[in-house]
Order: sequence, then C-alpha cells, then structure tokens
Amino acid sequence: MPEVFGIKIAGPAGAGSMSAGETLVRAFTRAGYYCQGYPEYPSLIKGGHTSYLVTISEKPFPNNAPKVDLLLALTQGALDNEHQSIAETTHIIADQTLKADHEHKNLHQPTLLTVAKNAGNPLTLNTAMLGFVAPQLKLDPNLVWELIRQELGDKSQTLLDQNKAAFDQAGQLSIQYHLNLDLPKAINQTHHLAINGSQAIGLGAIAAGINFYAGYPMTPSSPLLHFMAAHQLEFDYLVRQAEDEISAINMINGAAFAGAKAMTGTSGGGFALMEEGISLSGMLETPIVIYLAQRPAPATGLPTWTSQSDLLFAINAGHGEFPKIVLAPADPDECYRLTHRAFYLAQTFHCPVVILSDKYLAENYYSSADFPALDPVPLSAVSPPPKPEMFARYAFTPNGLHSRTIPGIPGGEYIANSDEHEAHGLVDESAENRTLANQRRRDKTNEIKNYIPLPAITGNSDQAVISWGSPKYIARQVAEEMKMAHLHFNHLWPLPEKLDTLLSGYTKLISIENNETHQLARLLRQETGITIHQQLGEDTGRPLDPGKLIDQIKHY
Amino acid sequence: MANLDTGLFPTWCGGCGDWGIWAALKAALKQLNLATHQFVLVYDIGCSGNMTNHLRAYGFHGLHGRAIPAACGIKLANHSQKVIVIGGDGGLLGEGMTHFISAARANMDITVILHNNQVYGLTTGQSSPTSMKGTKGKATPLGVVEQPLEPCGFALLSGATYVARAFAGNIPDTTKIFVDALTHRGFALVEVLQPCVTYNKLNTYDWFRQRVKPLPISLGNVYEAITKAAWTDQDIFTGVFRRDETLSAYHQTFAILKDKTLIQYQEKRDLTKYITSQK
Repeated sequence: MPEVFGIKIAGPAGAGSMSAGETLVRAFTRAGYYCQGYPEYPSLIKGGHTSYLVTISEKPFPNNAPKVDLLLALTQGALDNEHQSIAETTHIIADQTLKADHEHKNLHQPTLLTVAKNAGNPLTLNTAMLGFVAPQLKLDPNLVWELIRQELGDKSQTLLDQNKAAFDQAGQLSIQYHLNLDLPKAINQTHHLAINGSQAIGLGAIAAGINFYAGYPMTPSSPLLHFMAAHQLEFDYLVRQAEDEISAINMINGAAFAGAKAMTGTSGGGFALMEEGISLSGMLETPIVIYLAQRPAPATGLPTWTSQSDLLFAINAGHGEFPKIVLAPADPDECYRLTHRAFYLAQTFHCPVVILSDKYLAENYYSSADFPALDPVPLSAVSPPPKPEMFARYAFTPNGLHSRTIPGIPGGEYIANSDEHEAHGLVDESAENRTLANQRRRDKTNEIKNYIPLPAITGNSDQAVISWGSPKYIARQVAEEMKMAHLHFNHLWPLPEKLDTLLSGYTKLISIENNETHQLARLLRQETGITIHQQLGEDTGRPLDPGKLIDQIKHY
Repeated sequence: MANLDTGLFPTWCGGCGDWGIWAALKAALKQLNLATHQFVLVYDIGCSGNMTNHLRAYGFHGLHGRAIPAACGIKLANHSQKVIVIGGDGGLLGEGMTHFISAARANMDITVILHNNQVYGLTTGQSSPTSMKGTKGKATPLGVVEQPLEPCGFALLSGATYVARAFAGNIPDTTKIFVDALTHRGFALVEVLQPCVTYNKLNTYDWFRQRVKPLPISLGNVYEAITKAAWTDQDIFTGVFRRDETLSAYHQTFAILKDKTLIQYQEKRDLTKYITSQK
C-alpha cells in the first residue's frame, strides 16, 4: 500500500479539468484521505494544456505525488502532453477515440465521449470522467455527484440534467472495468476542510473584522479579491475594485486613517506600484494589511506559475526607513491565523503588514483541520480630552508606540502628514525633530521584535533544513528523509531576537527556497552574520522537487 | 465653529491665489457651522497641499496625485464625515488623472477643490496639464506642445454630478460656491482659477479679470455645460455648470451603509456556515 497516490486530470482550458480536480480533492477529503490539489495552467482562457494533480495520502499535507498513478486524459492533447508524467505502471483513462503513441499495459478506453454526447452536451466529458472513475477510486458516487452539483451552482436545469445523465451513464460503464488501484489508507479523522490558501486568508481577514478591501485584478492574488467580493454582504464589509493598485493602496491608507480595518492584495507588478503608498503608511503610521501573492518575475514573468522571489522586495518595499512587518503563511491554517494576526499587529503597531503567499499556496487545495473561532481585532482609537492644541498623535514614547484618534472624535484632531512632522502632525523640518522621529520609528521596530516568534522547529539533529512560506512541507519531507531538523520561518520581518543563538547551535544549515538567489539565506546572513552552508532551490515556476533536493544534499 | 488656526502661518508667496482659496474655505466652513471633528481635509502635494499646516482639523496629507483615492477611502470608512480634497492641476490632473476620472464616475461623495495655477509651483515652474499651448516651462523650454486640459469639461464628461468654477481673486463668490459644493451629495469639483505670481507670468490676476464672467444662464444638459465651461479668449465663466442629485452617491448604493458607517461594524463574525460548506 503506497503512502501517496497521484491522480492527474488533464485537458485544454475550458474543458473542466480544474473543477473536476477540485471535486476530487473534496471527495477524497470527505472519504478520509489527506489531500493536496495542485493546478497547472497557462495564461489563457480557452485551449492550451491544463492539468490538476490530486495527491491523496495517509499523512497530513502530502506534497505532489512523485509520479502520476492515474491519468484522466480528456482530449488527445492531454494524452500527448502528459507523456512525461506517466510511468509504466500508470493507469490511463482516455476516450476510445484517443490514440496513445505506444503500448500501455494499463490504458483503459471507455466510450466517454459517446456518453457525454448522448447526455446532450459534449462539454459534460469531465463529469462523465468523474462518473466513470469514482467507483474505481472507491468513492461514493452519490457524494461525488453532490459535490459536482454544488460546483455547478446556479447553472440551468438543462445543464444539470445533462451532467447528471453523463455522470450516471459513465458510472454504468465503469461496472465492466476493474482497475484494482492500489490506494493508501483512508485514516484522516482530523482534516475535514478542503480549502485553498486564498479562502483561508479571506476567512482570517473576515474573522479579524475587516471593514474594507480594495484591489485590482492580478494573478495569483485575484482569487482573494473574488473571495472577498463574494462574501461582503454576508459579513458586512465593503470591497472596491480600484482603478489601479496605486489607488488601492492609497484608498486603504485613507480608510485605515479613518478607522477601518483595511486590506489590499496584489502580485509582484502591482506591489511595485504600491510601494510609494507603503512608504506613506510608514510615515502616517496607518494600520494597513497588504497581501502579496508571488509569481515568477521579472515583469509579467510566468503569470500563472509559482515563485518565492519577492521576499527581499517585500521586506525592503517603500522608500525610506520605517517599521514594517512581513509574514509568510505555509498552509490554510497558517493563512487563517497569520492574516488575523496581521490585522492585530497593524492595529497594535500602526504600520504596514505584508502577507506573502504565492501561486502554489493561493490556489492549491489542502485537507485542513477546522479553523478556530477568533474574536475581531479591536479598533485602536482613543477619545482624548479636548485641548487648545491638536492631539499629540505622534508624541515621543519610550517604545515608539502611541495611541491614535480617528475622524469623528472631538478633541482628536491631528494631521496625518506625509511631510516629516512633530507630535501633532504639523510639518517640522528641523534636524532635532527628524532625529526624534527617526528614533521613534527605530524604537517601534525594536518593540515589534518582542512579538516575533523564533522559527518553528521539528526534528532533533545538529543539522537543519530551513525554509519559509509555501515549500514548508517539501522542506519537511527533505529534512525527515535526511534525518535533519527543520526550521520553518513564517515571520520574516523583522527577524526575532536571539535568532543568531539558535542558528549557531547547528553544525550544518541548508536553505530550501523557491527562488534563484536564495533570499532567506542572504537575509539571515545579513541580519545574523551566519552563513547558510548549502543554499538550495530554483525558480522554474514549478514547486520544488523533494527528490532532487535530497540528491543535491547527498552529493554536496 | 471652533478656531481653525494651527498657530503656523502659511508660506505661500505674497499675492498667491492660494491665500484667497484658504480664506474662502475657512469662511465656507464657518458658514456651514461644522465642528472640526466633522470633516476631513485631504491634501495633495504641491503649493495647495501646503495648506495642510494651516487648518486645525483632521487632516491627511498624502502623496502627490493620490489625494483622491485616500479621500475615497476615508469617505467609505466613515461616510458621516465631509471629505474635502485640496489639490492642484499638477497632482490631481497629472499623476492623479486616473483617480480623478474614477472618483467622478463613481460619484464618490467628496468635494475636490482644484487649485488651477497652470504650473508646477512648488517644484519651481514646470508646465502642467493645464498650461496653455506654447507656455515655456523649466522642463519645456521650447514651449508646451500639448493642448491644455480643461478640468471642468473633463469632469463633466467623466460623470461628475457637481462642477463649478471660481476665481481666487473673488473671495465672496468663491466662498458661495464652496458652500454650495460642500452641501452637494456626490462628486463635486470646484476648479479655482489661482494665479501663480511667481511662475506664471501669462495667466495673471489682470489676465483673468479681463475674461472671468459669471455664467449668465442656468444650464440644461451636460453637453451644453461642457461648451459653456470651455475657456475662450474672451470668456472664462465662473459659476455652477452642473448640480445633479438625482444619482445616488457611491456609498448610498450599499445597503450596509444605510444606518451605520463601515467602521461601526465591529461585531464578531460567525464563519461556521461557510466553513461547513467547505467540508
């Protein structure tokens, strides 16, 4: 019995391989497996080649299966394009009309296209595929149909009927086949949610009490924009699709100044446009949250693929020197909790907080444990006694922290001034005031460090693998196989105190990152003086391959 | 109305149109009898934005060209506030053009006071989007090639529901227009002709006084208004080109903002239903 089993459904964009893949993740999660669903698709709407890899396992957070055990090919193109992902033992299901380029002992060719056509709509082929494959995967057809039904949502009755007919007829066809697939054990009792990173980040923001989200579409941050927009009526907040990213960041700066818990989201190019607004937040000390979903760059790069190449960009975003916090969740549970925490840290420290994800985390589906109910983050605002002078919003305090007021509070009037300012926000260009303001900003960064935990450690060894963000479980698999400890960072900036002590306790450190220039390794050296001995990773747009990483460590 | 004095005195050049706008705005706020916690002044960057330090009220001095989106964010967060944008032709129509169009189209309930001096003053005299063709600026020594942009006509085409023009040399009339604009529900643009005595030697007080005339008639439709708002060599009309409250302001289209402001929603949210649907 294998530990993981990989199922890939492939076809051109528009043929429904994505929705079918998500349906399988949900079905397997309900059936008691730990799953991961991983979509691959080019930047186009119709045609091309898209695929969805569902990995099921008896252990939580499986990485992509190293080989495809079952290929569901919707078209000839799918069959041809997946040539490299199949092994001799791979079971392939393809319509009878499709031609494999050479003999496969496990090629199965039911008449699925005929089923779809008989159902009245050739586009139901993906549903027919699910109807055929469900019994072979020991999935309850009623459950799978119910999930398809949910996916179809408010589509017309005709379309629902066509899909149901295709599903049922393919199920009948399946009775004649016995693939005898060797599946892992279904022992998942804890991870009942099938959810992606974008949904989890949205839920974290909603739990934190978000009032306002502004964004401009950009893959792979758009799923969060869509999620936030879809749920605004249900949870009493507002979403505005801004005219550009510059508007979005300035809008949330204004909203945050006025008391809203406010957030924006974008990817690298949009984040570049937002930088001046992030610097503005640094000067005005507005509590804002910025979601940065990374994709391979420079420029347009690989729009629909994954990357971790914006870590140092996020940390250094915005001209000038000012406090900023950068967090990087690795799975839905971390997405939920760290997004809530981002709002808490923003309200506590009145500074920009960046949440880093990437296409892998934003769009992958995971079997996840339930999210705990969390209280909203309280709005930080005080009602000071009225005085002749304005409110001393930017008064000097020992730890750089201070209270604020919001418009509407009598006696709280002050200027949020992008010019360097004195305590009330009035312009003051004197060297004395500048020195004081710089010190306030520095003190605040130092205070933030008290809230930053050391990286989570698993395993006991004097050698350690280090990682951040979405490749957490890839790095963990490598660490476990190499019998090393694993240090995972989800708070990236500022780095915690005593990190140097922790790192210097290891005789060998190996970094694993989905980027070309080993940015975390460079950051750690810059901040702690400690050199990471072996720096691994690449930026191909694809998730890292644990097998290749293990080889690199063994042959170092 | 409480004292609007911050104790700092403005740094504008003697004779700058900004003095007149400042005086008219203070007079308008006094007439409206607003307390200083009931409105927010959002300043762009430029000579106009330097008004920041001279009005004792809630103020937001943002980035060059970006005052309008900040104002929109403030309005949506707390629509019980009156939100007033102070900016110039350089910021609001140069870098900020997209925001200007977008806020007008959305009918955001903000009042934009556009100080139009047809030059970048604070950066010492470059040409601006409203500079007249042929104007020689420090960065355009051969003369501006472009046609000048007309803020009022442009706002009208973008869907602004209130569009007016005032002249900084006439403080009483400017005050009246400000009061009117501040009581309009929806996006309001007031273009204020603001002579720059240091860097604009063409469009001077005298030059304007020869051309500025009150708009003779009340206008019917938007296209008529655009025609009347256009500058000619003889006439530059001041007055209200459009005032239309038949359209809802942006925030009024959301049911959740009917009885409460956005920031009044602080309740705990129950995610159970959604989470259950993902199992």
